[in-house]
Amino acid sequence: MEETLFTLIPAIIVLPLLGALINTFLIRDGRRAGMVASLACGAAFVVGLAAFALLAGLPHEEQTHIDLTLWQWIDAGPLDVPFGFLFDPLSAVMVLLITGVGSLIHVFSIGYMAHDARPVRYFVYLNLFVAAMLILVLANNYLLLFLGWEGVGLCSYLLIGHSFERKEARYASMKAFVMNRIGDFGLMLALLALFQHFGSLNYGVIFPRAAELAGQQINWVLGPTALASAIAFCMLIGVSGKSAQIPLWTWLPDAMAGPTPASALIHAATMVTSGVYLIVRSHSIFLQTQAISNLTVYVGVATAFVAASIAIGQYDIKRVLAFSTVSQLGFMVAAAGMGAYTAAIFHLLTHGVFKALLFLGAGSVIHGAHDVQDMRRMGGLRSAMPTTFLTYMAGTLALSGIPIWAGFFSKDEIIGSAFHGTRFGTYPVSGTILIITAALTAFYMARQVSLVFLGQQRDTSYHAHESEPIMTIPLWILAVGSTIAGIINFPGLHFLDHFLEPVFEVGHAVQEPLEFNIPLAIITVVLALAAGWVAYQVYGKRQWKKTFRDPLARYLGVFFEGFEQRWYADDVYDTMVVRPFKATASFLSRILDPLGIDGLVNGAAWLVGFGGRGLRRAQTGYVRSYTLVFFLGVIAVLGYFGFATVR
Amino acid sequence: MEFQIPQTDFTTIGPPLVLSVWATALLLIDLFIANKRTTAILALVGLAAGAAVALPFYGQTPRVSFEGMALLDDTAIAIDWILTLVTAITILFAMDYLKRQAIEMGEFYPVLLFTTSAMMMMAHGRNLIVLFISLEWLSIGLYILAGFAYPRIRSQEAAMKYLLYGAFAAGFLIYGTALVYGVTGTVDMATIADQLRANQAMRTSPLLLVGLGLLLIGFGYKISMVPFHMWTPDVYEGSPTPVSAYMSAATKAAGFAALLRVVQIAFPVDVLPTWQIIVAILAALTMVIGNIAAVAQSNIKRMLAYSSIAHAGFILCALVAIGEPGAVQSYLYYILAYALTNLGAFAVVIALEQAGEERFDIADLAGIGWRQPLLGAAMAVFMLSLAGVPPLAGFFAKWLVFQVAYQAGFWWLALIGLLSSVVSAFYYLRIIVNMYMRERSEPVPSFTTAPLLLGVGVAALLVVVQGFLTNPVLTLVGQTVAAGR
Repeated sequence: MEETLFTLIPAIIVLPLLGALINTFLIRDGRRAGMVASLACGAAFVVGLAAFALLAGLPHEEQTHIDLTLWQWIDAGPLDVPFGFLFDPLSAVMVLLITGVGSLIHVFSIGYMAHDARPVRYFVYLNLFVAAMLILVLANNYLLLFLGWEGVGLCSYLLIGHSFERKEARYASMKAFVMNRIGDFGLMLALLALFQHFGSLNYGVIFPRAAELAGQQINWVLGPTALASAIAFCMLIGVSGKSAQIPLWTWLPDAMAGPTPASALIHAATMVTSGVYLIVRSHSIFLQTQAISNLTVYVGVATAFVAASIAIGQYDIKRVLAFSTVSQLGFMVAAAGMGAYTAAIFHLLTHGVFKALLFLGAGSVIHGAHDVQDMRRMGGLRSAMPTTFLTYMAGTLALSGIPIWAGFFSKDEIIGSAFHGTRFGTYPVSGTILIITAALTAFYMARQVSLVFLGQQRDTSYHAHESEPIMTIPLWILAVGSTIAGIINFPGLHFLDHFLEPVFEVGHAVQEPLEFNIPLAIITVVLALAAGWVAYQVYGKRQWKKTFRDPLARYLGVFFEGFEQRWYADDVYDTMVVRPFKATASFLSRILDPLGIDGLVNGAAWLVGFGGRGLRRAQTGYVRSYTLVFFLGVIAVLGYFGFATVR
Repeated sequence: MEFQIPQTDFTTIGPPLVLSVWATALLLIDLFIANKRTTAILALVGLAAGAAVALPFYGQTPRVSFEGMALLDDTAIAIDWILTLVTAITILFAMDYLKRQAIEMGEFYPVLLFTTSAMMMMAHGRNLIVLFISLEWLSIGLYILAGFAYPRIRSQEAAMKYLLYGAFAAGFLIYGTALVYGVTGTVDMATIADQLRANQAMRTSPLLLVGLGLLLIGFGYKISMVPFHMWTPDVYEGSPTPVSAYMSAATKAAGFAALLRVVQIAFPVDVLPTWQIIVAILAALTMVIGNIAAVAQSNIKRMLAYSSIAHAGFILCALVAIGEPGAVQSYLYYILAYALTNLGAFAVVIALEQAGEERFDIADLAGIGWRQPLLGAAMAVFMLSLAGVPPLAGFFAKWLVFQVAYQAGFWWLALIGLLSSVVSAFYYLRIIVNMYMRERSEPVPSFTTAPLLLGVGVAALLVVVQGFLTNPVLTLVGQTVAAGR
């Protein structure tokens, strides 16, 4: 059985890679490329499913030991890094999410990208992304994880800038890349510190000995700190870059400049959740530091609330979803910080499904509405796009946390953990903020549905149509998934809790499955329903003009302006970082470089060129002059040996 | 008087023997073959057979036979396999090229096999005379191959220059052998080392050292070590391009194999460290001059020739440090990486070369990356590997040789190597820039056929794989160390 697993695991990664290679070199037709890419990803899903089944069949304690080293990747003195994979319950569920949702998004893209200028390139990047993401979650050491981490970052950059003719796409891709680099730098520091202490980056070496990190003191910026805190802090920087948390969160909304299905896969369902995955994977380290774990909770809660409030003030259909993603990621990060790891992964999985659905639904709307993204120009699309509307409703109910839909269970588990308490204690204030955020979520989703699908079409200059089956079928599947996904950790059954238990035994982080808190659930649901009803009253009942100002602006005044302007975060960054940076750069490029560096470099280049030209002149083509040089060499060599003997 | 037939173990020269026999047969068979592609495929079959012969002996204890003249150990087998690979890819390159140039003659492939066979003997020889004969033998083959495009005056010039220069250098080699024999009374390399170990006076004998110097010069010419390198650009430029590719990869590998044998077996550093410094100085010169001269070239073939000179310098860094643990692995690793990469890099020139016309200017590459995606991608891989960009083989190769040079105390050599690598990045990246970021109103037509693409693809794939599998490759070539003596 383990042998079979050992052959299946590399295949999961190789398949999408193969798809990328085939599309790069052999396929020139967009639709065919889409078929190949979907097939590759679908095959990876099937293989992943088989591996999952095998793993589930193993005895409990063996489930964390499927550790496969393909070959020694780097072996340089003390640095020894295997190219190896760890297939445990945690990576197994991640693999299923990535390949499963990924396959549906690939299929959807075939229809969505039909009129694109470079569909083949798009599918190559998409497949490459899936492969990199799989490496990230399957790695058995931090360096290989980092390879995947950088790989998904690169693919995200390429996909955001896919339509690079548009200025904002170019700008957004750069912004995403730079912000991610800042985060990556943090993660890199964490890896260096881990290597310095353990002499290894392998999970198998680090996690069992993680307790050592708590006792070790180092001199940190603010005086002596436990090594565990320093490492966890650096990791948190990486998490905030990748998972768009405060302070590195402003790139994600702009990343919506990429093709919508790519946003669904990368900027909603998978890549942005890798930060959460990192914390859960490194739980042994985070458990050693109460301070940084608390900080993680605060970062997550603050992000969740701020982003949800911003989502209320947006008019662009994708931007609302983008801020919603940031907000939901905040929920997950908060849960991971509290030590409620299963809850974080549970929400990660359900969110992956229903947010992918919402993004694809938005994609379908944009596709059917001929690239209109401003919700003020939509309205009444329910009749033109009934399928999209129905499936979108499933996603909306799931995201808003309405019972029986998936989001209700996963979100409730996070809020429940905050009040019920974990090994770090209870977080009543954070929990309250999260409940308010959940209500805001219901509000902005109801607002969006009202503006897009209900009422009458406000801008009648275009004729909306329903999307073709290749796009609606994935929507149906995801809609069913969003409706029933709560079952994977249904209260009382706790499938996911039990399945993930072996992973958390390593760091002694197993928690009793949380009992369902009925009063809490009633409060959140009532608040969510109330918020949704209010939004429907405000936006769904009246007929607006196509350039209306949001009615909330009247009542909330300056607050609403803050929502609209994203709490001015971009302006602050622009003034504080970008502009001084540009000024410095311009100073260096105009004054310092030409005189100093360029002078040096150009001088060196001139010297090399001069030497090269001189040597070229010596190369006359005459054998006799060549022999002359040869002879000079002979004299030198023999002279040396003669000198050596005399001495 | 009773005449005793010495016991000979023919397996010690298995691969070269198979190739020679097969080449002889192929010369005859070829008379009855109309389609020369068949000859090429038969030659490939022979290569495979030759490589397979050595397989059972890989990882076994070294075997010596022919009165100690021939040696079969893992180093020899590794070199045999590298040469097999290079020759096979060369044949793939040559197939359609010869036809397009209207010089498709069946002899090409047997001569190629003979030459490869001779090169293999350089690795199998444990005797200075064997090395000398092998060198002459392979040179004769190369003279023919260099002049194979005889209707072209440039090809004739290349063959002529190569012959004159080769004859000149051979004199040094045989004279050096004679002097070493004069002092030690033997041409058997293992015995030379024993003599030197036993006899203090011999180690400081001027005659012996001069002889060693002459040997270094003779081999230095083959691997185009500065200042014995000047033939290289002219010969590479004029020869038919697959032959240039072959010379840059295979001849170098063979020359380095012989050099390794000489300093490893006959003049080990623990006995005679005198040669280290002069080789280090020449290595530094080779790296610097090769790289700087390459910058000034506008002709791709000449640029690649200088690049091959520069890389000889890098490989020599490992030779200088040959006494260090891991040095032989780095040496062989570099040879493999370099041979595959430089060989592959010539493919793009082959694709550009039209019948009769020569388009070798770097500007002629404009836009080829988009028009020939596979070829362009492979060429980009080769250039990045030559420049030493991780995670390709070229990076690890450079890193390994600099590391051993540093370990051996030649930090200045590693530093010079590092600096000249930086210079080299310029002209390698210039090729990529030309391929992808320049466009011409009238693109130069390029020809790719299935065999060429297959050869390029295999080479590119191996360069990538070698980089990713650095450690397994090192182990593969590394077993030689224990068996080296």
